[in-house]
Amino acid sequence: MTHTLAAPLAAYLLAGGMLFLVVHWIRRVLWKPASKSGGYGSGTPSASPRAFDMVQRLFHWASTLTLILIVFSGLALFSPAFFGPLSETIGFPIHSNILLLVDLHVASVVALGSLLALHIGWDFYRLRTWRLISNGRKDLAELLSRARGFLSGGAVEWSEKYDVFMKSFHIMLIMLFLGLGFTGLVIYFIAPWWLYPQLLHSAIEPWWMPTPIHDVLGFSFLVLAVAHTYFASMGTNRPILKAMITGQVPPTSVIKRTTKLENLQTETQPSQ
Amino acid sequence: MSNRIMKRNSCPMGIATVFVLFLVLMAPLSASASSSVQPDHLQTLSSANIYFTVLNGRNSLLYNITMMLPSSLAPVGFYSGSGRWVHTLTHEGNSFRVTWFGGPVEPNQTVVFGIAVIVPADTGIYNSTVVENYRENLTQSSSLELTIYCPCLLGIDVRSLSYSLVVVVLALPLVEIGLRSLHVPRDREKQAVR
Repeated sequence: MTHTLAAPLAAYLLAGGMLFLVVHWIRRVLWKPASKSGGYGSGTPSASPRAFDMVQRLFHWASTLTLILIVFSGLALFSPAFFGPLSETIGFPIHSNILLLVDLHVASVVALGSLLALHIGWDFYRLRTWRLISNGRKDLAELLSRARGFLSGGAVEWSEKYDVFMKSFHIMLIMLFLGLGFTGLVIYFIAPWWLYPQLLHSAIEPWWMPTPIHDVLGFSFLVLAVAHTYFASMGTNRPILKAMITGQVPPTSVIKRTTKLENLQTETQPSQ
Repeated sequence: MSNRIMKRNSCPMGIATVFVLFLVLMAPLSASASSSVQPDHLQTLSSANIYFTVLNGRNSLLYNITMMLPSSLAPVGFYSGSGRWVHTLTHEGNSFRVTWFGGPVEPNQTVVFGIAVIVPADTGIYNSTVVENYRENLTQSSSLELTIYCPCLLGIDVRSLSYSLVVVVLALPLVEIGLRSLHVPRDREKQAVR
């Protein structure tokens, strides 16, 4: 018994999240697509197209890069024996590079922390868009409407710049980063298992087991990150993805929005 | 009368005989079971800690313990619970020999030895032997079984399955593009027919 989260539990957590996304894809792409053209079924045309300024885009892609480094180094540290054979084929044996991987993991986290500070500062002093990203009562109504639409085969409702899922994604990211940051700090300063022989890892682990908690939060983040990438790459959201690259939504895209609560509560029309 | 006495006496005698027989039969078993291993089930492609508990069941001090591990279980770390022990590791044919010197282990006392191993991808049951070397060339060996199992779901390693699913999910939007590119020419054909 090692001091980390049991690998099968992590695998089931990851597989569960992925299976939900597979079901979503079958539902939205094969069974009853939201829209053939990649647009949404109901709502009114957007008055203000989505736009991301240079700082937002720089933050997004730089943090994506750091998160990729964090995830890959984290997976290698979580299960070096499992990824060992694969890493040896590319000439990077994990077991003899544990310290390098820890340094890479920590350096990427520090870089991400700096980017998050930039993001918060930019939003606080310049954009002031916190309200757009915080969940409210009408988001709950939107969530119910979207869930009903998903289950009944209806069209996708669209609301403001950020819909209920984007807002929830943002909130969950904040919570996960706080949890991962705290447990990561404890592991780094109080229970640095990589400095001890494997047989003593359980002995240096604090009673509240920050390492398995860090693992659970890490795999939850991985599910969230894959879901974010999947939804961003879907046909319906591709204009937003383009906006995250170019800054502006292409004028030909058919993104629509509904701003009023009553519109969210109207019955959704079948898209086909 | 004498028969009755004989009968009465035969009952305790029989119990005693059975008890002696039981002791005789159990003696080798208890001797061979003086060492145990925890855990005895190991997951494929994992880092595992195996703990051997060795009991000194004799009346002399125990200074030397040898463990034989299958060559697929490469030891990468060592730990001894009590006493002062020095270990040596040698690779002999199809097995690793780990020898512990020092201690000592007092009679009727136990000592725990830990060995960190990298578990291979091959499943199966492997034998490990613990040999306790006492003074006057007395030895006692225990044969222990280590089972290497795959955390599988429908015959597929759940870890490989979950990471494969991540790749599949990330590829789904590309499949969607492919499906759309198939649909668009069909729609154009329909419009041309109209």
